[in-house]
Amino acid sequence: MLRLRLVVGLSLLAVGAFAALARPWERATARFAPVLTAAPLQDPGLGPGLLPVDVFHPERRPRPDGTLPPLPPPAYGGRVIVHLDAMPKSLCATIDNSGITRRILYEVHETLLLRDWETTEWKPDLSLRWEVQDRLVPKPGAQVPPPEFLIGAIRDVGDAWFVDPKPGYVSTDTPRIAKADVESVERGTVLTFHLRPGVRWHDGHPFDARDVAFSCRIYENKSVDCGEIRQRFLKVEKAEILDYLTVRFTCARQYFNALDTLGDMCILPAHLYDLSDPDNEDGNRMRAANPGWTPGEKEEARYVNENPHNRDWIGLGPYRVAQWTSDSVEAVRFDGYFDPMNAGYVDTIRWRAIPDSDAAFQATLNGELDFFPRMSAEDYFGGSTQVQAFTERFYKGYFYTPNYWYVGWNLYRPQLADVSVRRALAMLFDFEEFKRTFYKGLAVQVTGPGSVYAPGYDRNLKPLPYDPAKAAALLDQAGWTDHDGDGVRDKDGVALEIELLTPPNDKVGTAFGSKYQENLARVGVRLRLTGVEWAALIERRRDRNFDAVALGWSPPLESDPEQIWHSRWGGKDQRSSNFVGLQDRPVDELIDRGQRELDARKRAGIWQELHRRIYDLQPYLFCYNSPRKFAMSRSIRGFQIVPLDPNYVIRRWFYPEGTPGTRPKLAASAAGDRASEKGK
Amino acid sequence: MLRYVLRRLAWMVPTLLGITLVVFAAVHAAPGDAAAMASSAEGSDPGLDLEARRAQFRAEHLLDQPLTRQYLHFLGPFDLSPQGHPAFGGSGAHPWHGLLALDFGREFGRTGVPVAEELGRRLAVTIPLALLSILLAYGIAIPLGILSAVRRGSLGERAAALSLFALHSVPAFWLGLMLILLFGAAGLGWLPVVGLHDKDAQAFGPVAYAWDTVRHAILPVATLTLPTLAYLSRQVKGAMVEALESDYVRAARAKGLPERAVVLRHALRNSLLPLVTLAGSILPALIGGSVVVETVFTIPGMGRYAYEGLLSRDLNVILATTTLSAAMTLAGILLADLAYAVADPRIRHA
Repeated sequence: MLRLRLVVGLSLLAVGAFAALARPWERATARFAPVLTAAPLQDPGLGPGLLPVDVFHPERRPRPDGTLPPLPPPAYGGRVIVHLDAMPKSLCATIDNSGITRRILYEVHETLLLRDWETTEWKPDLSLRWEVQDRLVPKPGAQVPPPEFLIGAIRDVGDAWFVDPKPGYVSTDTPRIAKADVESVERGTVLTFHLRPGVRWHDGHPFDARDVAFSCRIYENKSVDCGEIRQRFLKVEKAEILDYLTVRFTCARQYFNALDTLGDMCILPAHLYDLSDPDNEDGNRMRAANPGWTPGEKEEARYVNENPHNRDWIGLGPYRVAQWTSDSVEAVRFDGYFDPMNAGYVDTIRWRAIPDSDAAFQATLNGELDFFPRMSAEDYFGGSTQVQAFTERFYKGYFYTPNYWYVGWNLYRPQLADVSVRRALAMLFDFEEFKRTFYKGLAVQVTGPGSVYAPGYDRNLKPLPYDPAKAAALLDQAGWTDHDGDGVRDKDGVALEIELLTPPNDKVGTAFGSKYQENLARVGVRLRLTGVEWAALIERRRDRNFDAVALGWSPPLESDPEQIWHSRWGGKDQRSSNFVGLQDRPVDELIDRGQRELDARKRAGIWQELHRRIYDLQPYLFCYNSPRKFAMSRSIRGFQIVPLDPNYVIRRWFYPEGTPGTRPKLAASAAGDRASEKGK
Repeated sequence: MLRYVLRRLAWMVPTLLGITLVVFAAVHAAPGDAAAMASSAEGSDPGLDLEARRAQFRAEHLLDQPLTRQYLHFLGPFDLSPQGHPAFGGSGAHPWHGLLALDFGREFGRTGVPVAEELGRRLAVTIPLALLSILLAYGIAIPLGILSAVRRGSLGERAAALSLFALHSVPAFWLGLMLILLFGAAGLGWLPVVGLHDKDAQAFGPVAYAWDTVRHAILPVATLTLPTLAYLSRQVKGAMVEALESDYVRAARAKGLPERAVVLRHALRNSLLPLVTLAGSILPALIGGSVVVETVFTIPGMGRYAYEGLLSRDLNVILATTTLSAAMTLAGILLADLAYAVADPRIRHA
């Protein structure tokens, strides 16, 4: 009997071992097999957002005549389970402005303005309309009208400024202020938002101007745990409630990002977060017990930082948070949502956190996830997606995000201070080979900072070519030759030796580093690869205790380049995102100019000039942008890739009509059939 | 006996304090800055000021204070932060804190979440898995060890010895991954491999829910059990072989007792004594092993909590989980010693 058990046990062990070996074998053979290059379904040059809905879905493959099969009619109801890399720390973006938190808030909350998913232009959301006005700053002691009359469209009329409070309706009372009395004209610094009436929070409380003003003022309280985002809001000098549904913000100085900052601000329910709000129960209780009580700054901050609603979020979106477990957040349809036309099709969205991407892929195969956007190239191109468990229920695809990978050079290191050396190092990166072997063709090379889809990214700039001979010549010219015959170039007693830090378990970084190491060794540059634990890596980078570091940025469509490139943050003792220590006057001037430029087109020109200047200086080896590879349930339709984070819109996803558990109409009480509404 | 217990309990206090001191020193000596981790800009907007935020973070969590003050804050029972006990310059809003007050503070990442509460939730997952694993390990290891000892030298015993040796040698994470590949959807598709519940578990009835939990727990428990089982059965076999060759067993056989009675009544009873000692170290080992198993199978238990805390340099989580593990280890050793003392009176009089 024991023998039989042992035989069975050993057989199971043998099968397990075979299964274990099968994958490496499969991977090994894949390496020697003809390279499987992805069809160029998506032109990275065009960017996302221009592709049809469900472009990768097997039932949307083009017909022989080139037309696409129509989408099935959508039904309402059902649930989708979406993968997350980690659980959000909080759902309050004031406190945790991470990508994970924002991804959930897109569905459970709303902002004053919303960027159109396709065109990326701002459009109304909680704010039905908005005005951006100029402000005239008088000299101290100057005899000028009250501040209220110094706001409007300000025009230059020779020796005076003309303040038009309502452009197009010029009145005789419009003040003219002598230029001698004026210190500066701050363009676009007064932003007024007219809020949508009848909007209610998930707990039924009405939304009004108090919520908006409080949400901005909260950043002034230094004890509130708002993180890095506070800096942006400190540029807002004043938040005034003009009436129940009108809020006006005044910025201290002209700043290009003012509308983005306020339009995208996380609005908090004042009745739940503000102890001074007349509808706040905790504040009222304290006042009842002690009539003279007013909350101190620390007390207010603690109330926000430790507010239970940071998890049990009360928002304004079409879905409300219903459950939070140790590894998932679930949101269900909110019937009181103000815009039924934009309320989403599915009834329930669950975000499930599975940090390990291999485990997440297994969970996908098990049907535990409907959408998994973090597939490795091995799984994507390998046999894992050929198994029945995958092909029957899922399809795969990819989309480009604004991410880019780079190697940051420490410009304080003598071997990396010379721009010729950095240009030579850039010419030793064989992107085409790396793209072919590691990414199977799915990657684009980047030439500078910022999103490759941003208007400020100069797409005419060509990457420095892979040219070892030219790189060697550049190093020779710069005086880096092998003086001591040890096989490594040197200059003034310093060897051209670089330690490249990579994050732990970073397969991409290690593969890139190994290949790059070989290329550098051929021209006498020694590259040492060091995998460093994440906390130690951040510390070494912060202390500028590194030669080179391989990391990635995920910038928004347009961000302020000051922290990452301005000399102000590049000093040796400075600790900032400018950890490479770039200090360049033309770069500073471009950033200062761009920050004050309010015209988006002109600003894009400035950022493109900045891009070219940074390209010339090569403070980073700008590597590549690789698309995110995803697995999506075949049952879910309406998947569209859009240019804005997170590059997909869950509220557009639907199950086709006739799917069990769905219904043809949104709800009897709501706006009715969306299709019929659209048809009217 | 009571004096023995009290003496052992008294020794546990300095031992636990020593462990907390070592852990505290090790955590602070390790590279990496908790403030930098908490406000890491990786993957986010690069145009943000991080340093000001980090300074604020250090001040909030006393990380800019001398290590002695930080350690005393951790030890408690007084809260030494600005909101802490008035006797130490605090506002009095939150006077008690630390190990002695059973308050490990709040998580660095999720500001509003008390570590002790989260730890309780995580232990509710880890402890049942560990206990089940112990039960299975002993339940299988003892008969397996006896059979191996009785039939030693046979082909079956050698094969069993080889496979047990292999099981004992393989790292838990590898074993877990192999089980996932074999039984998960990519292989035979028999068992779920992620988490402890199905996506629809909330809609299940009590029986279906229990069955679903069992199905989800099979692979994690197997990963926890198999290496322990291999180790234990080797111990049982060793002790049994020794006992079977002893004089009293020979005498029992000479008396004409049936072999079954000789093995189970005489040899086994004396062989089980070392297993009592081992029990003290197995529970902490399983709790430690849960770090790997819970990470591989994405189970939200204490092991994964400790691992996540370590990655994010959340000192409150690291100190809480290590202190709790140390306390459980000491408790396990104490229980084993007490059991041993009960079984062998010579111990308590020594």
